[in-house]
Amino acid sequence: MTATLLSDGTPVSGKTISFKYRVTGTTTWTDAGTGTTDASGNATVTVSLTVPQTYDFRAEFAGDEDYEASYAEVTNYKVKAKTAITLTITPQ
Amino acid sequence: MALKDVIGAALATINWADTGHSTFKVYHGAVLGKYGVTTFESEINYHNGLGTKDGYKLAALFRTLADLRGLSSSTLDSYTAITLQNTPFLGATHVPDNDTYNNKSYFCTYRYGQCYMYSVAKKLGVATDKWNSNLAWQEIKSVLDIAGHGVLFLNTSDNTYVDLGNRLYDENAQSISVMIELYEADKANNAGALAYARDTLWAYVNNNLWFTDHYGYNPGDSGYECEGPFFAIVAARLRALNGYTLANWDRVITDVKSRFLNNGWDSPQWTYGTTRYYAVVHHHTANSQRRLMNTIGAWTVLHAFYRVLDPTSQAAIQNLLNGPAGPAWQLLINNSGLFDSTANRFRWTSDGTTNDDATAAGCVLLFLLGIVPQDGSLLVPLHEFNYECRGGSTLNRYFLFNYDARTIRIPVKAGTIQFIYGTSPVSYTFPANGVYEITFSSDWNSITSVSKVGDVDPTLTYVDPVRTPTKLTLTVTPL
Repeated sequence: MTATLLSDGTPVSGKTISFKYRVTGTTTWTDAGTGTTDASGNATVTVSLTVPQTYDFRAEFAGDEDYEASYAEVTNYKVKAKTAITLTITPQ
Repeated sequence: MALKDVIGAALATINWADTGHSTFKVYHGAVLGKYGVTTFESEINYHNGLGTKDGYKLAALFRTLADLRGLSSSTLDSYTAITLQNTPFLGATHVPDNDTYNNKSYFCTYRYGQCYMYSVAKKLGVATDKWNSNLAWQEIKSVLDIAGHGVLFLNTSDNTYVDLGNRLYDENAQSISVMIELYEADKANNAGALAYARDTLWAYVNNNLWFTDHYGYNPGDSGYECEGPFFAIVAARLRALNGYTLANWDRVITDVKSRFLNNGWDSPQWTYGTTRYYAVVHHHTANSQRRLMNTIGAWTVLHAFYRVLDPTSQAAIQNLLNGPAGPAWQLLINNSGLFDSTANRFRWTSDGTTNDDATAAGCVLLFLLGIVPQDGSLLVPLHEFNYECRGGSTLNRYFLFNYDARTIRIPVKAGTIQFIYGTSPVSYTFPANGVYEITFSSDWNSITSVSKVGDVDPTLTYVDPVRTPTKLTLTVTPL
């Protein structure tokens, strides 16, 4: 997941973003790691979710001496199990 | 009935032509756009004319509130000079005689705006020999040192005091506030006042009044004091003046959360036993009386602290204001016992009678309950002038609710804020920090204009410094 940190429309670089997730409907967040914003204000972490269900995701910027804190959420995101289909052609 | 209809009906019951010489009515009337500088001039002149210590005390408070509202005039200054020259002091000391207890004169740390008068005397150059903050804080400290903690009544001429229970707000927070005001009167020379508030009085509170997850009523009682909400403002001011750092600040945040938010309307400050009242109760475990002014204090604190709370606590505030249990304003008028829905009027306490003063204050509370912060919020400057007993609330010149013009003025941290004065919520995303005027349509369901009328003053104190706002967006992409 990727978070983008902007201030008045301008990317803010070099800031630490914390990522979390939880199963939708539960109350406990699980840490998914942190990332640092690049020149475009983007910070990315990758999380492996193998159980197909609905999740909430959150990114948090804690703020610092110069910038206010902010956060963003994506809720009710459905993670689907991967499927594979095989096709067999059998001559009659 | 929409929130704006409740406010309109309540406002219509108030006799604005008669101030009642009440700081409550005039102050809240000013927030509601009903009174301006001439009313404050008249009130200072009236109270000076009484020629009593109570009169000069209230004249000082009217001056304090005029400054809070950003009102100024040469007449205001000349009347205030009379107040400064005639206020009685305790013996030869530099501390006002502002109260009487058991037939003896005292300085009550409720202050009635008088500590701010040291700053005014200095600014006007009037009676500065008496209004000497450099000596006053040391004279007060001498008595507090004897008591070993904050007190309500003290006499600096004979170094005596009255201990009425060593409570969190009434004694300890108010004594901290006295030192804060005296520090602000002359920061260059009164650093000792700030240090005393921080290292002695604040340390005492943390060593003696902290109970696991909140500050208790007094050192022997873990109950929740009704003035507890405003304790957080005092602590935040102390932290702000100390360079936005303060030992045990995390406890203040924890206190606000456990007092109001962690269990929604079942949080202790809103309940008595298992009964929810949706308004602050007098003492969570011992007295179910509900109090209007403390509820205004509570919502001032929650709006002020919103931007420094975690997302879960922010969501809890949103839920109280406009959640599935019903909006806070509706629960207040229907269930708190503080509103007479037949007369459309408020009462100060659930066991009292309705009156103009309380109704004006109630309208200001409803103004605050119509604002639901999202990723934007209010930037509430921290002021504290004994908010509940004489002076009213602490909303400065940035706040205005003009019902007739359907316009509000608020200080904003950039981002989205929802307004729920009409039958449908309406949101607006403020692009930058500042003071904004927002005008609503006739049904208050939409916004017809928004204008930024100024910047917030960064030299005022806030729960956190005013910094550049940020906006975070999150995108989730499957691999």
